[in-house]
Amino acid sequence: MTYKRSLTIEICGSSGDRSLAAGEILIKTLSDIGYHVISFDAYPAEIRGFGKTVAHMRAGREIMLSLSSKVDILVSLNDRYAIEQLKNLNDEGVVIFDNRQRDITYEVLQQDEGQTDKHHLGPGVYTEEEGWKEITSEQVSIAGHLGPGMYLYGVPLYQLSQKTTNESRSRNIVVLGSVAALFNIPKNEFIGNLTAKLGKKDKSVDSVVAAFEEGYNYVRENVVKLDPYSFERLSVDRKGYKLMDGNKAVAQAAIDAGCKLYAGYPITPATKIMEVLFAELPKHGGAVVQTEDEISAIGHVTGAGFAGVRAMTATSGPGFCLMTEFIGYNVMSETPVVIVDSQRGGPATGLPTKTEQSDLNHALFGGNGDTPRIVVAPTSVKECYQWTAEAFYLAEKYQMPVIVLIDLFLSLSVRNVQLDPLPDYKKGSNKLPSQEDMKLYLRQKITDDGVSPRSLPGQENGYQVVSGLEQNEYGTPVYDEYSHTVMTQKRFRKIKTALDHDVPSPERIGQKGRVKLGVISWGSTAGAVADAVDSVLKEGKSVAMLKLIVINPLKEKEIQAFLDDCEKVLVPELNYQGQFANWLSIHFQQKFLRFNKVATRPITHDEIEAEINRLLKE
Amino acid sequence: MHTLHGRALPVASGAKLARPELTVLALVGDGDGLGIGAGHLPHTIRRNPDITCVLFDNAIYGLTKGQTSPMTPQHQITRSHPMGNPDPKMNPVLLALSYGAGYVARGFAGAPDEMQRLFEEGIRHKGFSFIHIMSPCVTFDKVNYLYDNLRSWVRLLPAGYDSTNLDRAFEIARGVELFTGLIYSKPSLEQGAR
Ligand SMILES: Cc1ncc(C[n+]2csc(CCOP(=O)(O)OP(=O)(O)O)c2C)c(N)n1
Ligand SMILES: [Mg+2]
Repeated sequence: MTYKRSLTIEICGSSGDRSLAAGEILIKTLSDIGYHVISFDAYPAEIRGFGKTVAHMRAGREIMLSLSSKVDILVSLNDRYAIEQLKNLNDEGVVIFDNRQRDITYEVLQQDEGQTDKHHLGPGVYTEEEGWKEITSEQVSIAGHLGPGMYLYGVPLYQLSQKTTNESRSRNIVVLGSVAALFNIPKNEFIGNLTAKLGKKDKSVDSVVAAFEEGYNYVRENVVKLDPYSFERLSVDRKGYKLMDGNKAVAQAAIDAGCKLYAGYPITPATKIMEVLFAELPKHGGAVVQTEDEISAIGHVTGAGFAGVRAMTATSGPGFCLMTEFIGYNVMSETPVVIVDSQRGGPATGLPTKTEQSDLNHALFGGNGDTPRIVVAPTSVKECYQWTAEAFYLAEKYQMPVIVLIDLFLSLSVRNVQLDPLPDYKKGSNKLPSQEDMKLYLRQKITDDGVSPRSLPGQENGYQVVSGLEQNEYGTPVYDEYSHTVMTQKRFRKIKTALDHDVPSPERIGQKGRVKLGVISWGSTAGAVADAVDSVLKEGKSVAMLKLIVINPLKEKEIQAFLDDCEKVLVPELNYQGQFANWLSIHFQQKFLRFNKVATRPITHDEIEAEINRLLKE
Repeated sequence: MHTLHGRALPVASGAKLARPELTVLALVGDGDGLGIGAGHLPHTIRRNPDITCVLFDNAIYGLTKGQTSPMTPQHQITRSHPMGNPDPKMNPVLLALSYGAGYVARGFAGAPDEMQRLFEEGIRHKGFSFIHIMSPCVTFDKVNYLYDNLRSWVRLLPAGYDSTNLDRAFEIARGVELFTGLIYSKPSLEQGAR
């Protein structure tokens, strides 16, 4: 790759154009030839009907944890929609479009009133409200809309698609051929991925490969390349790297960490975790239940946790709310459970298909009473894997709920990651009773570290009563001052023990020693901060970041040491109130500068960079 | 494990899935199983886990000291309805049959031998079993489920009653008379693979 640290590519079409499928093949190919990739597609929230669909990806030589604000290469399968995307295109961006657009007859499938008629219509746009509207070719072609420094390449996508496959729907494949030729992407990997993806479904693989070749050859023969972008093969070994999104990483972690029961209720964007586990977990001796609601889901997980088996549920904000009573119950009854909350815009049903980091308050404080719980927030897909697995270990070891906070961006964004195998000792962390303990078994025994030895149901002499009521060491309900005090202390002592033994120091990135500006970040936004800090460091700026994955308990000493090094401290996050900055303010006497957005999309690295530069100039 | 109010069925199901070798019972109240946690009943029946649910029905919210429950008869005066309960009560046996439970029985706390037999059978039944127990609240119910009342209300199932006949079971469940005993049982429905 030349010219820039990374390139952002968009393939834009209407939902029938299969731009996402093309995006998948492209990102896989770029990953195979040695690039780091990160994708985050946009598709219409509506299930039925036509709408803009954009495959969006960023590729570069170095690891990237966030998206860019600007696009470098825009591939149009539908100019009407792609014209809207031009506002994001870099001043020196590339557009690839169909230069014989006028001849296009779209095949539109209308399914009104149960009918399945095919209508041939001219260029136009379909909306649920207005139906099909014809539009003129000026409106339709992107060619007249480009800025002066942009590069425009035309390929007769429709014609080449018809020629090779007898249908217009292979325009997405033709254009991949053109992209390969324009940006020097090795052809063989491409064709391999194409046949792997379509081979199973599509019998006419040969014609699809022909469509690709046509797109490739057309560019080689007819197009003069003027832009500076290219993706030559890199000589790095990407064996052992897998393309996956955060949901897949969470599901994989559950399997690898020995989860034997998953219970869940469908909710965007967490549903895919359940779907993956439905297919995979039974192969590993586990059970999966789709329950009637989220209360039942966490109930199932609680039962399994009580029975001594690792169990998990995953949800999003509204479902997380329904689970709240059980969070307290698991604290009180000291039952291990893992709850994954993939945050979306809220409150209430909110913005089901948009990302946000606004469930932090609920994760930290949700529920009645003094309810200590461990909250972790992975910042990347790789960490989704590591920290979901860690959550099982922590929940079991400390006999309490562990909440894994991710968000829609992490859930759905695909990256190429190399997963480190889990250490064996993390696979079983129950504190089982010793023979001595069994002489007079006390389920809620007061111990120095707060953790009581746990007998599992069916264990001889291990009879126990657990409940959501306050209890003494035997598990008998008691409501006196002494018992409530020592038991509350015991429950909080476990958090302290976890902090001392199992919470790593937060990672500091950037300049060592004193800095003009420190940035503390969490969750997926930390990815944007890491990318931004990386780039301002290259400009010699005095900046450092502290990445917090464990949100509760906090490594206060280490964080304080970082704060002491910083002239100013910025806390950017994707919520309105600054929930994380507020959380830090409870613990530290520091004025935190905030950068809050409810953008409905991830914060980009350039936004953070701009804010860093603004604060450095102040 | 004393779970949350209304949530014994999901927790019991989870425990059973996690450790199939355990014998698992879910003991619920009338407010618990038919009010706050009622949503779990049809789905637990559908999933048919091998657990036994005993519904202890005292026709009142006992723990909270005498409010109307889903089993309190219409017009009865309670602490929450000093002018009388405006709503009719529910019919748990009919519900369990309608949802397709494979073992449905009713017992009376004044007849412990029968109760014991029903519990044993219910636990042995492969699949979900549902046992409705009418059980007086001697503290907060002074008019309805009194031992004397219940003793005069309950009936043994007619001689030769065939508990595998679902239509008969529905008739029994819909009737005004309070029959006790095994009302319906059929060989376990197949449990789906999980
Ligand atoms: C979420 C929730 N709401 C309310 C309560 C208070 N509460 C405890 S027991 C109970 C009623 C129980 O009635 P029932 O299930 O009939 O049992 P009984 O006490 O009559 O045996 C209520 C309302 C609670 N514990 N949890
Ligand atoms: Mg009751």
